[in-house]
Amino acid sequence: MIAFTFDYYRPTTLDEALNLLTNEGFYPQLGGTDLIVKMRNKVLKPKAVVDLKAIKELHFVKFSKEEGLEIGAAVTLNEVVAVPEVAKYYPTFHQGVRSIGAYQTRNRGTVAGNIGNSSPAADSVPGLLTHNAKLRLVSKSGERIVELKDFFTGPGKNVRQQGEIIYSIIVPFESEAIGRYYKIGRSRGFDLSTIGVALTVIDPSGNRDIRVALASVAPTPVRAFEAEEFIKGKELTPENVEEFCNLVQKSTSPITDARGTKEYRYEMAKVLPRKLLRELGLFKEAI
Amino acid sequence: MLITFKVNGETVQLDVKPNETLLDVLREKLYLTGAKEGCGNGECGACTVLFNGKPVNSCLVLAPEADGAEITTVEAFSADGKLDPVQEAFIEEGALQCGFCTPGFIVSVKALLKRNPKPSREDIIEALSGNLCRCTGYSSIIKAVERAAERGAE
Repeated sequence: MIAFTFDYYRPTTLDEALNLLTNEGFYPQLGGTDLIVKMRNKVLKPKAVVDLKAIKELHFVKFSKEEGLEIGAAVTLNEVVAVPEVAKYYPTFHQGVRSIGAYQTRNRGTVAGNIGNSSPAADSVPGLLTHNAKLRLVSKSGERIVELKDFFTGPGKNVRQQGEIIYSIIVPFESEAIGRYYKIGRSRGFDLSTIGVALTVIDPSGNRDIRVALASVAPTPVRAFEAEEFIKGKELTPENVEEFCNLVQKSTSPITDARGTKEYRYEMAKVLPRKLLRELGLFKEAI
Repeated sequence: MLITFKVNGETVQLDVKPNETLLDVLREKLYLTGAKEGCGNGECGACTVLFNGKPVNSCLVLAPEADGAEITTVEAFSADGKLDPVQEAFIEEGALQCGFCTPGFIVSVKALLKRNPKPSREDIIEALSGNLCRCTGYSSIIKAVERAAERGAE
């Protein structure tokens, strides 16, 4: 039971949903796995929730090497995990999605919801950032494309406006990629991340473009552009890897909370990129 | 608002409020008290039911969202006083103590064996990562799932 009353709408067309959402205090809902928790805890008190799951056009996944990947807002996390092209071409993102919540949560939750909720700990986001993902935002007045890196403005905050929904997530395809998402939580079962690091290598056997993004170490998920720039075209010698990891660490500004201290997060922001490079076979370390 | 949905194969029509959860409705209006409210935040899995065949936390589903859905609760798995092979395996392995989490586990295991009749230990652990048990330490639960799978339980 949620301790206050609100209205519930389940529109079947996008137009209907966008009309409803122009009302002050009306909130879009997908899986509800964050929204309902926030409502139960009275962090959020919408006048109405507009459930978008009955809108057929939001249930789609398409992929081509020319257009990249596009995921409709209502596709569940487990459905994304099951798409072979996601696992093959976007391994870091795939692992991130798979690490969200537990199996039950992933049957309800969506990538659009994970992004819309805008937690700094959103595990689907670092992988997407390394692939230069964009969002298709739709409102009654039209459509705009926003770079995912420009979407977040703070914990739980983003540039989405009243009346706007995340229609889909667009992930460009650049080349074959390898990568890993490594998440530290407090339990082995499942947890929000204390820190999550996505390391993606685009075109590993050619240009070798290394990209890194992190969750839970700043007010928003962050990408370590400076570190990426530094390592471009450089050999992965112990000195270069050391500097690369220092620069990744510099891109973070962690805080202490229930899931870990800022000192621990700061230290891990340096340790984990090195571990991931090693695990991907790009760097051998004399131990 | 009036919703129509199927619960354990039977069509039910109910008047629900948006601020009720599916779990509230199952327990308090349909008296299906197998699913439990542990945390109410989607962390413990004691409220797990099948929503169109997939395990979900019923505490994180608003009652009106169930309109048109097919819901299966743990009560569906034992008929005429006869337990399901998964339930039998839990008893044989001693995979419960206080029993509060058990209905949620049974529902998650049923869904797992349906999609993957021969799960590896890792598959089992992943499928049950959203179900917390504070008594058993999980070993006996995993053994029970392995035992049920060996017997071809679905």
